[in-house]
Amino acid sequence: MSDPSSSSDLRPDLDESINVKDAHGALRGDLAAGREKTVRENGMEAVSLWLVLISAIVVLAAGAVMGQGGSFFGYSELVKEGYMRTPSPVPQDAPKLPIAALSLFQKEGKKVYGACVACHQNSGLGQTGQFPPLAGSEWVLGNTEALSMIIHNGVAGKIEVAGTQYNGNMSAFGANLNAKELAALMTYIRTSWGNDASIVSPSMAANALEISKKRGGSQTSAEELKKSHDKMLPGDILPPDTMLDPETWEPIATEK
Amino acid sequence: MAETNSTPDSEDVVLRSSIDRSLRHPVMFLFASGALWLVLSIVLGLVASAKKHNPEFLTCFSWLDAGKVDAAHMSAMIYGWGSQAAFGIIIWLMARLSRKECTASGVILWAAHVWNAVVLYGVIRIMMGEGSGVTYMEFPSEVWPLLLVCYTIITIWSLIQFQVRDAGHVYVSQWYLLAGLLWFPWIAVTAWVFVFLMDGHPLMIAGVAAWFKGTLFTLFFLPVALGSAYYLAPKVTGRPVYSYNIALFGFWSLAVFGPWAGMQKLVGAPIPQFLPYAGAASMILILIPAIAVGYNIIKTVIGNSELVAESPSLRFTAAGIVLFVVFGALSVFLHTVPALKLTQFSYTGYGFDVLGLYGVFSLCAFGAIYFIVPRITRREWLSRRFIKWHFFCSLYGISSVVICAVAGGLSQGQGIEDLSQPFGTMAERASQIGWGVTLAWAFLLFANLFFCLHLLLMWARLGRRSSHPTLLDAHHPTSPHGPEGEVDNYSSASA
Repeated sequence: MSDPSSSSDLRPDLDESINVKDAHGALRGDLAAGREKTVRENGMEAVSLWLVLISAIVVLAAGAVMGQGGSFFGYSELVKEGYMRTPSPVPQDAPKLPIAALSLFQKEGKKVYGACVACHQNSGLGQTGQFPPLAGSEWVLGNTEALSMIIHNGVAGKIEVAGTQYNGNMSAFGANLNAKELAALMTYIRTSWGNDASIVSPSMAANALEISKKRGGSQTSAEELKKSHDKMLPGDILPPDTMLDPETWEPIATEK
Repeated sequence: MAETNSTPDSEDVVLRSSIDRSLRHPVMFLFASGALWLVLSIVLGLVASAKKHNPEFLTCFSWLDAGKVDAAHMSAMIYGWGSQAAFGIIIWLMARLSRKECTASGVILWAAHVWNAVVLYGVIRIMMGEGSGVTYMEFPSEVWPLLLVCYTIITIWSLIQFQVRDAGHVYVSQWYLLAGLLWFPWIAVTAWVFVFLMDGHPLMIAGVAAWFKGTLFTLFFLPVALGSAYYLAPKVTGRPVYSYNIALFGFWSLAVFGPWAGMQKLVGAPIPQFLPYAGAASMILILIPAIAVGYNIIKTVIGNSELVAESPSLRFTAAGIVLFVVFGALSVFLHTVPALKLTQFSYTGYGFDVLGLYGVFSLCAFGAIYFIVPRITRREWLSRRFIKWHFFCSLYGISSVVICAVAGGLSQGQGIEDLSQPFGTMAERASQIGWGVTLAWAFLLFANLFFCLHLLLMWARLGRRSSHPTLLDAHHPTSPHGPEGEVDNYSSASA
């Protein structure tokens, strides 16, 4: 860095040029290396009792954790029993996992639909000429009050479904259905097999039961449905992603 | 003052200066490039943390994707900053304690350049999405042999110095340094062979990587930090280490418990069941060396509280040692069986790692750097204020990490465990913790910008030429730097 022959030999900031032994007069003890104190021999205090005691407590805590590890050096024991949790160990009184309204209704509705499978089939296509389809049916996709009357009271006589005339006799299923089941069933058939209609909420289904009660018990006909029931059911609208308690079907407020 | 005769004391001074002189280039290079890497890693940490609560942040750069920037952040922190600071401390301290000049500083300097180039290459490969994806070993496989060769070239001279030292007492710091020097290649080679060379089961790779992550701290960074603390505390105070017996106890307890650390990260994974629990137990047992070392160092410096406040080296070292005890105490709580579940997938584990790497290791390393640099550059630190800001911002940053990540992470962990709530609820909670972590990195960035600038100025030999060290005393007697002393008057004195 600097010229070895220059007077910089005397400078304390030793560059390559300088001989340390020569500069040693300038070191004297006021530079960093010189003002250092020497590291002295270690003190010989004994390990104090409380240090041993604390260590013993720490060893106990570690031993408690080690005890959870199964048999020592057991290479065959892999996953700890009960470490992987399934939702079932949640206590009985604890709220069940919330589920989105649409999923819940489809799941429950599919169970109720078991009563309809014989005629309308799992595919929702019915049987050509005998039982009308539900997939793409204007009665299913259309106004919910008419649909609820069909399910609840049955339908007889001529009816046109998806461009085809049927003349059948569907019996009433209302006696076996409560409002929740009716709502789930209607939601299920309105949102399955390519159908893409709105959710029917339990409160709408309850209104349907009311209307049906006022109307009396006989089977409906296509003309009656067109004349007096061609409208949407009144009642609370339920957005499809509302989180519901799977037991009570009440909305659960998710923490924000 | 004109004692020019060769008393043993002045011979000591000459020997010290010649050792410092022989090592100044490699050590300064390691420290300065380490400080630059630290700033870079904190910037990356800031981006990574911001992305956790604001996923839209900087999405326009694909090389800053969350996974890449997180990996680059930790790799730069460990291999850019931590390792290089540790190497600088090891080679300087080992030379001093073995009382041998370094004869290979050119080779070390060259290897340190290669190390930097290799780390840079590795970080760029990570940013390109070609990292290995193994925790703490994110660089692609070809990087590791190069780093190991560089490590050997940089540190082998310290082993040689230890071997050829004049027979005598082996000082406490030397135990730690020697142990760290030998442990690092052991864990690194083992991890490299099992992760990259052998075509093993992915679970085995995950297990070995977790072990490497745990032991890299307990068997490399921790011994270097403690070795430095055991040197600085008696050196600056001029008092002997309080107890040789406690030092032995602390060293051997770390040596026995340290190698088991790491696999607690895999609790619940289908690996032999005792492994994660042994890891957790060893992390609990870390409190024993922490208390032993903490007690010993504090007992050594106590009664010199003025010196602890004034000397930057001692202040950083004491803070690092206190945080080591905090680390040990937290470790007991975080590794009990109920807490393990809460720490595994939450911010807590990350915060705890940062507490170890920054709070314990880096603070001790800063202490050592504040001590070593004036000796090898023959200049005093420029600004007390820079050092103070570095210290306090570091403390604020580490406090934020402990409060937000470690404590807040527990509530996040509970959110993950609560099956009656949807996942989004927990994520919402975690994003608030994320803000706190971002704040912590902002503090640390601020602190280390000052540190890096200060160190670079010292590297450029722009430090104060004074016989008075830069102390952090509160009063301003004559100048902002404290008493100036005889500034650069040696030529007149010897003339």
